[in-house]
Amino acid sequence: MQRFIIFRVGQAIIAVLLVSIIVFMLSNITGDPTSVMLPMGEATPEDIAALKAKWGLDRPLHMRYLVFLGNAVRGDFGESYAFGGQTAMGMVMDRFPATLQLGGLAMLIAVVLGVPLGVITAAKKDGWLDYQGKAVAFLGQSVPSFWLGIMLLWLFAVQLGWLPSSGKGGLSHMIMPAFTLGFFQVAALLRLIRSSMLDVLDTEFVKLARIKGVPEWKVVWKHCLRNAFIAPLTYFAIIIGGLFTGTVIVETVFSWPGVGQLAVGAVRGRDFQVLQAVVIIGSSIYIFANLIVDILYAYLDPRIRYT
Amino acid sequence: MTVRSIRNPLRIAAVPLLIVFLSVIVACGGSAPDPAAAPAATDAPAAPAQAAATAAPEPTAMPAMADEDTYLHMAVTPLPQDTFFPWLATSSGHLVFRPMWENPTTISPETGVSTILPQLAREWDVSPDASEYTFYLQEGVDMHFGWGEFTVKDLIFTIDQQMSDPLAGCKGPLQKFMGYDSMTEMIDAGKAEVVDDYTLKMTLAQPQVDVADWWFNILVVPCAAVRSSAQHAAEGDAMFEQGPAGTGGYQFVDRELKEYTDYEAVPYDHWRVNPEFKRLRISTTPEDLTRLAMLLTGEANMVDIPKVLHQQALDEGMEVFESPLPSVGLTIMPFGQYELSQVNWNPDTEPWTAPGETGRLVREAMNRAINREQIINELFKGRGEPMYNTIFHDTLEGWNPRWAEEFDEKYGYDLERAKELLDEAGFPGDNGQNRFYMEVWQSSLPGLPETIEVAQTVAQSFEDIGIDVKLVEVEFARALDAFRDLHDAHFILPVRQTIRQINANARIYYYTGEINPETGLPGGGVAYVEHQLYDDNYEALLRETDPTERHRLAQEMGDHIYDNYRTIPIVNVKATLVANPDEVLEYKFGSLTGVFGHLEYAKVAR
Repeated sequence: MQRFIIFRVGQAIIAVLLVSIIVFMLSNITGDPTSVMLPMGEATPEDIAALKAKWGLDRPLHMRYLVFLGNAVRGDFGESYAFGGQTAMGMVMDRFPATLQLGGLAMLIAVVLGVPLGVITAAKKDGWLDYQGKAVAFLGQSVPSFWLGIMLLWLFAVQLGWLPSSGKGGLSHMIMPAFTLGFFQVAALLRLIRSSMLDVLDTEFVKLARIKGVPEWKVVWKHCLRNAFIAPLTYFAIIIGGLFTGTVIVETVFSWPGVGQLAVGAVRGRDFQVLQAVVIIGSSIYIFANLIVDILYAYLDPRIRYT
Repeated sequence: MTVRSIRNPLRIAAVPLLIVFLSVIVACGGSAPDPAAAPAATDAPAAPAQAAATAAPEPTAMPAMADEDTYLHMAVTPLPQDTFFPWLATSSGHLVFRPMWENPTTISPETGVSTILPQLAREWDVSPDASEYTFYLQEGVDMHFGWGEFTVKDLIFTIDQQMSDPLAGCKGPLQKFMGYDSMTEMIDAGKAEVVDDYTLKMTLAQPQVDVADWWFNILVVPCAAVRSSAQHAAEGDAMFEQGPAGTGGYQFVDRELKEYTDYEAVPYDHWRVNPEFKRLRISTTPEDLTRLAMLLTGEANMVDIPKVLHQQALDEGMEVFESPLPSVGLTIMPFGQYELSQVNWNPDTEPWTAPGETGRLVREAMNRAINREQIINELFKGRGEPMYNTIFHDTLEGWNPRWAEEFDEKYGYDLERAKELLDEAGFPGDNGQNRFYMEVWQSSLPGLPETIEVAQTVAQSFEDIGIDVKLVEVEFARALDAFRDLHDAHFILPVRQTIRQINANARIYYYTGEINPETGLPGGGVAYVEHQLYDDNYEALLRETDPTERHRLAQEMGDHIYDNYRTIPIVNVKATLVANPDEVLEYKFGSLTGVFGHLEYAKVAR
């Protein structure tokens, strides 16, 4: 087990390093941030040169990467180009709680809706409830989140006036963005649970339980669900990653002041420092979540360690 | 298949559930302050001892201007640069600062940049050669939060601070005509003089006719939006995050970058205008439909949305406020006309850049291929007027009525004539096809989302006359790279043209300047199109104060651009805001730039 953990941690570190190289190179080859930072027609070539020197943009790319990596390890992603006086890390951390809140509620929605629907659709296979569940799964995985967000906004905020349209506030402000963000995961969990439950429902011990007269609800919700949960558990890591990246669109639609909206602004403004901080922190969370799940999975199923 | 029974997997699942639950609890606890919910607390910092010593005037009783619950919430697209520091902000990035700061001069809401009005400078004298200026400042103007009375010290501090950072917008040009790196240095060198607390004399290093009209005006990347020197002496740059003082009708309350900025009307009789709305929030919301939803749900009462959404708002009883004059124009620049610097100039492969008659015929053909009426009606929903000559307007000096009168005849939509012109220019192609290759770049620009569709329309129009067109989608920053670093722009690109004084736009669009011997690049503005006449006339305009001669110089340049089809002018568009008429009765744009900077004039619907 120890060797497995060390191996997986090593893989995770390599993955983060690769991400850092890709993000750094991609953001830098898109162009020069001084183009958007300095006012058009008013900045002289000397101003541009001075600014490049100030930010180290006049140095070779590989040198800049090494400096960047050294600082990033210490959590220093530099000062934002676009937000004068703000550190990139500070800006991400300022907005991270908002994204976490949104992602947390989205995950709750995914679990609360996805798991029971998955169980019910499996238990009522080929019944009308199963068809309804399949429809939900189909819609959830095919409807783009920006479209769903706008439709919800139009219905619940504009037409019905039940919920606020945008911004950060109390729980009412979170419902629509969290549902939009979580809907895809509802569908994914539903399908996974349903498929896993169908396997378990067909096993010998379930038949035995039924023969012994165990009530059907107990067979399904206690004995089967416990055993069907291992595959969806792995999926939680993917959910976490999906929720983090999904906020880019959802936060923009609902003007939710989180990391996703920050990332969009950073891309538009060539704010490399902030963009790198967002992507690397996001990727690290994703990789870390996968690492934890892998270790957990190996703990639960020892066969994993030897494959 | 062996199914491993997990002893208690739900316990493991409970961990993420617990995290979720805690997140929701945290979420329910924290919320952004909503000034609509409760009157804003007046938590302005207590005036420090040194400010008190300046004998700030006793606040007068609250004038009959603002009911406590009058609240203006304006939602706009995110600012290109959001910063607490004004010297780092672009013109549009200054939107959030404008309610609290004033400039030495401003412009007329009715006639735009052609009428310069005094603001913190009550008057000014300019020598005939435009090299000596004397500014006489307003007396009795209070700084917010008891930071004393506005004096010349505040103006000097503001300019010094504006010139202190290489990122600051006007640093370069100010340095050039002032001859020094700061106003303080200029004073120390004896080139500027503080005559008294309200009078500043300057002797410039080079003539500059537009100091009051442009550089000290609200229009430009605000170089002289006056803030408090006393506050900065006490608090340093932290003042910009904590609550910067200015002299405007609104004073700062709170700000979250990329979210909102809150203001309240000053608690005394303002020297210029007492805002009717007691509280003001400017929030940034990226999605157009969300801003419309905010308006329709009453969360905001004035929003900036694209024209295609106007009808939906009108159907719901909203009202569209339109600026009296166009705020912005859309023009198409056939780049690569670098016949002056000859840097990366390729007239053989890019015939629209060719000198003499060949280039002129090609550019006329390109102009005639475009159906401007259709663009205005379809893409701008009729809310636009034809642009007759890039950077020129009938409210600005240099205007020639002939341009409008002859426009149909010279620039009118005529595909057959356009094809004949290309034949005449020596580009018959293969049976009228593949005459030559060109790239049309499309890029989204803040404040003018229609540029993408215009680029696509133009590309199709050029294909209709047999030009082999490649439509390329780029970030605008990439185009800027091409203009700025390489002087290597060889494409057609619709660009937003803010209507400014001729001096300002001539420098950006047509001024090549000296060629830098080290880089080989022009040292002037962006220089979309080059010609010796434009350089000569621009430099003469900087020195010339006689209105008649200025008009002649500008018109001569305009005639040359127009008659030689140097650009493809498309449309001038008025700035619009959509508001709830039950709450907002009137809004004066007050600016020809479309930068909504006069919110203190908004009127409450009673």
